[in-house]
Amino acid sequence: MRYLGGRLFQALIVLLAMSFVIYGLIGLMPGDPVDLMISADPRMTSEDAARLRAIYGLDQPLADRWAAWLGAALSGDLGWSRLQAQPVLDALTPALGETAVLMGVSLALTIALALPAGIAAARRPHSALDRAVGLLAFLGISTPPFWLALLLIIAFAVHLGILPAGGAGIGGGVLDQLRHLVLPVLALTLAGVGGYVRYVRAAMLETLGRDWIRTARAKGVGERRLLLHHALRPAMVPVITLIGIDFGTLFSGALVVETVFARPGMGRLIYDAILGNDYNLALAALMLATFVTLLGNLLADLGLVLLDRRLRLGEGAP
Amino acid sequence: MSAASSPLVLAGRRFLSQWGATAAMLTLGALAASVMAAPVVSSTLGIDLQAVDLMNRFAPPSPLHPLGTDDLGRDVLLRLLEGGRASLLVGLFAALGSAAIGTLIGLVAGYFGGRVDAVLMRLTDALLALPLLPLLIVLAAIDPAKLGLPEALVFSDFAGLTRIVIIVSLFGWTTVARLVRAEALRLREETFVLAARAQGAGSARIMTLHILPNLASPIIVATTLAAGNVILLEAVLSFLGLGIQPPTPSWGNLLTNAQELVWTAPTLAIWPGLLILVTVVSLNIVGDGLREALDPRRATG
Repeated sequence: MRYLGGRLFQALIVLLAMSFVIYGLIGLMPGDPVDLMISADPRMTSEDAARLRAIYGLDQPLADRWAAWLGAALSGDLGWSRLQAQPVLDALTPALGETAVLMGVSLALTIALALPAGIAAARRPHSALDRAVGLLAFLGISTPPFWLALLLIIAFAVHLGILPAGGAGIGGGVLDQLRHLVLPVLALTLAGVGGYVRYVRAAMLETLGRDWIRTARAKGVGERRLLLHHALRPAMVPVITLIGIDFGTLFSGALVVETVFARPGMGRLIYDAILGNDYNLALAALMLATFVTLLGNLLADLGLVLLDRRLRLGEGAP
Repeated sequence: MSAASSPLVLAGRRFLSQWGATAAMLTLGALAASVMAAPVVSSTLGIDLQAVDLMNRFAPPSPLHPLGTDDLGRDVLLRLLEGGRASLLVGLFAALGSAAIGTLIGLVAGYFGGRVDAVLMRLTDALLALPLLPLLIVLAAIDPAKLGLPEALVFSDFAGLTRIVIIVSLFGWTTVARLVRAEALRLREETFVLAARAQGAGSARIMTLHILPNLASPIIVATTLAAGNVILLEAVLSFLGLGIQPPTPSWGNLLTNAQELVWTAPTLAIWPGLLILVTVVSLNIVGDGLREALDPRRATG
């Protein structure tokens, strides 16, 4: 538990630091809210602009503005989205839902593919199967994800015409929405699965070489039980660590996939908010992205603690 | 093998004995040579890269246009090569930038160890765990004039390329830092470091004169591997319209254009991605090959 407490504290520090960095970066985006008002009202003089900047506190030092924003955000006031003409919170919620579905399904599929492939490759190292799996994983890692998404669109939407090329099917039935989800999930999964396969293989290979595996085999434990019970459990520790570390990459991948497939998720929202000078929305969305990523990290840590008894007893990190 | 062979020659031989790495190196060389030759070819053939020829849109492959033409009648092959030049140059400089940052951080962390090491490596871990792409997009969107840079510098072509190199370098250094740190951690216990310290050499001198030269192998290997990542990052940013800006072609922004035309000319989407794939695969193979070749512990004969 001390381990988890430490991690939680660390995550909070990173979150606080990132909120300052992101606040500062957003401040460096072109223009400011008063510039937008000026462009909307040509009669405004520079004295008016200066007065407005003073009213909104834009002439205050960065740290003061950040503290004011943080205070408001913590009390639930994230401001108003200029582009979407609604409170930031109302704009974020549906987008987060969309992205969570995409990421969740894709992560589940990634693990469902990577575990058997990695285990099969590790069972017979340097066999033809191992080489084939290794080659595919290598190609997967080296392929630009957005290109993969484009290729999927060309194959399934342009040539075969069996799946939609974009959108989320909002307004259609559940079946239609699922149809819209197939290609994005496939693209996100193929982009990430290679790394996981390599990791599972390496972790399994390491555990399969341990003494207790030899002992279990000598005792006459069946191959199936040996792999799934004796070897897989310890091998899952590094794999779960990877899921935690990789959460940010998964989010980045979701952003790309959402852009290519024109899906209304967090990625799309962040992209539009930043390019459309929607400061409030961009700030809140980026903070949410960081928060979700750190939460993913923490959940992976929790998984580790559940899996590794040494951690539960507080005997230090693996 | 003659006894006079220098370590470099031996490493070169070990590298060339791996046919995969050699083939990948040749592929990279051929790619680099053809993208550099592109302007020469276009000027001798008298084809203008940006010339619009609306009577000749989406032309099929022909002797004059080996890969056909795009939506504005421009030669696809030439634009690919020209785009490759931008992508590879940005990749090269961003890899070097990443190497510089990574070496500095890895060296300091590994040499001093203890608390310095803990803080720097935590920073590296935190950077890895963050949602990278959204942050890159913000960085690409910030207004350099607000940082107090002169306007003339901000709006030049050169500034656009420099900006993307800097942005990508800021996130590409983690691999290099890890590898360099591990090696520096080992080297600082070596007797020659102790000897230098006994003679009164300061930390800065030991790091630059005694440890850094011995870090050449991990730096070269990590930089090659980081170059692949860096090229992928540049491609994504350009694809999203935040990296290299049209009309200057790059592999990333050629794909943006190809996506808009995916229903009329799907083949346009094939080539830029394929070239990115080939480049990244080759860089990764060369990186692995260099690791094998430069590791003296693996040396035989």
